[in-house]
Amino acid sequence: MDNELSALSVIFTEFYYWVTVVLMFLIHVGFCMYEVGVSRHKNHLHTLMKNTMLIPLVTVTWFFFGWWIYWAMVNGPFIGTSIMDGNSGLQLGGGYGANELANPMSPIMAINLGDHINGVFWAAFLLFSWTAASIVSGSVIERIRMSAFGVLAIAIGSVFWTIDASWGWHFDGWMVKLLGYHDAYASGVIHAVAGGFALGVLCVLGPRIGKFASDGTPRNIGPRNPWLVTVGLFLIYTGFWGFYAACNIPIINLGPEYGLEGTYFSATNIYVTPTTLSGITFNFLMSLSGGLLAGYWVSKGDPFWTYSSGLAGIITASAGNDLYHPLQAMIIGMIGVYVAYKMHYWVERKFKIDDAVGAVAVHGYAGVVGLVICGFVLWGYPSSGYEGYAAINPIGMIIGAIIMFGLLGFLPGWIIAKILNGMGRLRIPHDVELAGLDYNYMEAAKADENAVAADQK
Amino acid sequence: MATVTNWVETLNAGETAVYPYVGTEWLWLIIAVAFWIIWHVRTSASETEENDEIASKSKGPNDYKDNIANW
Repeated sequence: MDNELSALSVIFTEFYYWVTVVLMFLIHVGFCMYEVGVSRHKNHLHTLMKNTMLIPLVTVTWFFFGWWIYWAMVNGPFIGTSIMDGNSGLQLGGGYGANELANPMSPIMAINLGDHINGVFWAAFLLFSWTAASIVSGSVIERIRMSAFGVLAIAIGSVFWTIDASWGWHFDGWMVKLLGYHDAYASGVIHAVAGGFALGVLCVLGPRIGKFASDGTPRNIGPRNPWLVTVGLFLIYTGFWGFYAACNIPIINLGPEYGLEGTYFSATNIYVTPTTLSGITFNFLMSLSGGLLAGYWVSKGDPFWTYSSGLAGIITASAGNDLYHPLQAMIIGMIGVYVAYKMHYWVERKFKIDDAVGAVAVHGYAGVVGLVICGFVLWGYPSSGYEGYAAINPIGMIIGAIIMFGLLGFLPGWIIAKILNGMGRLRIPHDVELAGLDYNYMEAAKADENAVAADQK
Repeated sequence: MATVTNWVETLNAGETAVYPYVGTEWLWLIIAVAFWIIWHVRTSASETEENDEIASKSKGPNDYKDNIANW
């Protein structure tokens, strides 16, 4: 920063990401409120702590190795070739943000007067990691062991979503280059992968006691507190809005990047292709509205599904919301909600899957639908401004959806849950589930209340 | 030992890492990883203890209602 203009640009970018991180914190506040609102009274505190403690668990591991993975895996390894240095193995060095800088022992992973971006960029991605883990958290409430969830949260939050982001949400990622994968606001790289992971865990974890009648008919458990659910989802919407901004590079000169004559300053998406913050604001709100409209219709005005459908609408349109027309975003959001809603109940009945908050549907199925639709609607668009990248296409996007939901989501979730279950560490004991995870807290609180009341006589 | 003892000299020299004990990051990392592993082991054990305690009480699905405090 040797002149006022470059200093202003750097400090603006630093502050921009910092603001998005603070906004995205609201996603987690929302998830906490939402999960507690859905859980029964006897499990409130445990449910709250499970979602809260994923914050430090994922944050610390994101510092240890998550950020490193993001920058290391762009080539697969051994699938693609980096445009930065021609390497096809692990990406361990190179320009800004390359792996040597994401090493937890690097001087740039700290207060460093020579860098203003690494920490806020690290934090922005970290908040995405919390979200991925939090999506899984909601689906498994009231019967998972906290320690098992901690392992699963680290796996999805600091490992598997990170790999998929490196592959498909990085300007140098092999999926972008070879498949033409395009997922600007993370229909797949956060939502489909986390939804798939949650489904894998749920297959092993099993339903809550009483969720299904002896003849297999599902029963509705919850939501218990509609106001917590309502405010929680509004906060998630708000944080999601901040997330959209966080996915953009706020200002970059595309001239030298693309070999243009002269300068061309623009905001870009994460692939360094141009978009505008103004334009994506159209699309965010229109896809939210499409989701709400479709959700209200398909669920016959059920508040739980209507609110969740607002979220599912945004998630479905997110893959292409850097380029869609607002009306396209709205209609795509509606399609995603319809499919997610129908799939949720079909899977519940057919496979006896107890997804307590509908996370697999809202994030997983809607995310997958969003990727597939994006492949058709944006067919032929370049996936990157750099030379040699495949164009966006349906086959590439369908393969991408399978990788996100199946390979990096469902499969690891199922395998890790199987291992934990085999060790007897996945699910709480039957008697604890009946009594409630908060039984001891509540008993102690009641004893204190009685003791205080006795003294006041 | 302070990494920075004179801001003017530090900035003139182009030094950018200003946190204490630059060069010992590996040591802090080892301590943090060790704590992280111990945390998981200890909290998992205490969770098992608490679950066993609740299970031993053999309470039914609605017994918690007797314990809802009305402060």
